[in-house]
Amino acid sequence: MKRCHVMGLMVALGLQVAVMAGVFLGGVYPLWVGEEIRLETRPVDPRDLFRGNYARLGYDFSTLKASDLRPGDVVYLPLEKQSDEALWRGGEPQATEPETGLYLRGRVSGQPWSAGNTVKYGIEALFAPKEKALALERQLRDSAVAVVRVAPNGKAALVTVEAKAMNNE
Amino acid sequence: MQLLGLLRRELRSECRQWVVDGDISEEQGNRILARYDTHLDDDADGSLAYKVLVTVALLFVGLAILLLVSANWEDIPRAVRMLGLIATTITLNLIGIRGHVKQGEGSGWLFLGGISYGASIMLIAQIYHLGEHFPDGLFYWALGVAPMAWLVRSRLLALLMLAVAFLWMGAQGQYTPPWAMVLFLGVAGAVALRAHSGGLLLVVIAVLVSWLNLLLGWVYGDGWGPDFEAGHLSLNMGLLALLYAFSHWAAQSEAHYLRRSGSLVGLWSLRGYLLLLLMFSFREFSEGYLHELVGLADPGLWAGLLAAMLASAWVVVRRLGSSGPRLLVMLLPFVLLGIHAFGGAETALGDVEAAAWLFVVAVNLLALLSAIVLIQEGLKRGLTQYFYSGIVLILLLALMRYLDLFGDYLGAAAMFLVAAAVLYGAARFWRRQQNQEAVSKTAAGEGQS
Repeated sequence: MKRCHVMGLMVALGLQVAVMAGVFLGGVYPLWVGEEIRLETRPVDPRDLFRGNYARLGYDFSTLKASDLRPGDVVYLPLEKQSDEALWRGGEPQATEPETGLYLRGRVSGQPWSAGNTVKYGIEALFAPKEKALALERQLRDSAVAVVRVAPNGKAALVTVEAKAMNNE
Repeated sequence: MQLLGLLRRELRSECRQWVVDGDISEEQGNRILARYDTHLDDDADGSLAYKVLVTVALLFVGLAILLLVSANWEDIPRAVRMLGLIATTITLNLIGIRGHVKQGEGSGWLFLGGISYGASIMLIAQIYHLGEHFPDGLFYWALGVAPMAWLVRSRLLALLMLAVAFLWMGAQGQYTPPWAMVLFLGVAGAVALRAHSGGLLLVVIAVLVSWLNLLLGWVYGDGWGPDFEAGHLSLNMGLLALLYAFSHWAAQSEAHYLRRSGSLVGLWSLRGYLLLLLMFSFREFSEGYLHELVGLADPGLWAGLLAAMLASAWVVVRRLGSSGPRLLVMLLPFVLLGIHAFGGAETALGDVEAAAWLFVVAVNLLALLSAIVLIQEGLKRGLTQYFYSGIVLILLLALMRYLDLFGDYLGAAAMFLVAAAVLYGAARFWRRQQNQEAVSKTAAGEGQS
């Protein structure tokens, strides 16, 4: 009985380790296998109660206009590279997975407002120490470029954020 | 209702003083205290103070860990930061498990391990900029603590799990109905029963009520998000009746912790009932409520009706509580149906304003009757809480009606006169009953002599 109890406790601890490993692997998977792209973004600086300061990144394709999608629905956003610059842009979001090309997999997360929904693709937060987050906000106030790695299944991970001018050089 | 059982510390110190003064013997003191699951030598005061202080200290250490993680130590390599916190989590949990297995202790270490585990999830999210859906992190945190809390039967871990799950419910509840709360509520409820913890049971009940309200919000929200409507009041009326039934069932239990939690739930359900009565005694509030109801098709009605019918069946089958409140609980399903029939059928039955007027008069009379019953019950059964609740209710009612002039000056005056007549009638009735009791006692005494 006691041995079973100890085994149970060790399994419970194992579950915690497995969850931590799962969160870690989910985070690094796109960094390991993904293709690097650059997306135009606008940072603002809030603070998360548990994870500290971060710059919240907004994208043009973060808002869906006039869609029937509900919170929790999965959305696929085909990505198109601009011919004249190094930036990538989002195409028309769709409910089915694209068969070819690079795309982002997101989830409708917000309530409908101004005739649109918010979609999160997992690349909306850049965590940084407080001073750096504030400096980033000042430096990148007007426009910036998010460096993102996108895995073949559409899962994306944010690598860093750069000033737009640097990107155009 | 064992309200005195909620004041065990005060009872112990009083009894000790009576023993010192020679009013009662030590054995008598212990026999009195045994009714409340304690004794003269109970050192729970000292150990409780120790436990509370240590728990708060552990909580502060946990908050310190979270703040240290939040500070974002970019200069330290990612792997070192992450492995450091994961190793800390494993070490704290292993120390806790060892302490639990060897001495039956260690929940403090496991509590710290639980916080460190949550901090590790947040740190990984921070390092890899995982900002996709932050409630997921809280969910994984609560999920990881749940089996440990259940296996160790630790109230502290169960409270940590429930607190994190509650935060998750609030965050996730904006996007989808938080169904997984049933798991966390189940685990916390099981720990409360296995650890005989009345306090944890109360927290579980409070979170359960919030969860049910949120789920009803999703039914109203039509898939886009939760909406809070007038029908929520109908649900909460039913839940109050259910809590009343639970409190009286628990008060009859053999288990002291159930009796204590039953007393507290009974008190809070009474307060909730009085609050609802006071809110509905305002014409504008009642009119708004009746206007917003969706009639008999209102999901709030059916949820409230289900709870009220369960409560009715419970109080009738087990004969719980005294006759007045029991009758109220039994009538509640019909009251709810009536309210929704009037409120929702604005087009079918016509004027909601007239219905609201009748409704408010009925609520005010019910409040008056409730106050009288509370005062009488308080005096008859020696329950101070009931007595003063009745007094406060009657005074508040008078003050509010004097200020809001329901039915203008003449209407309000008429209502005060009716109220005075009801009060006077109740006082006369009670006095006659007391006289009859005194006469029958005297007759019984003469018969014996």
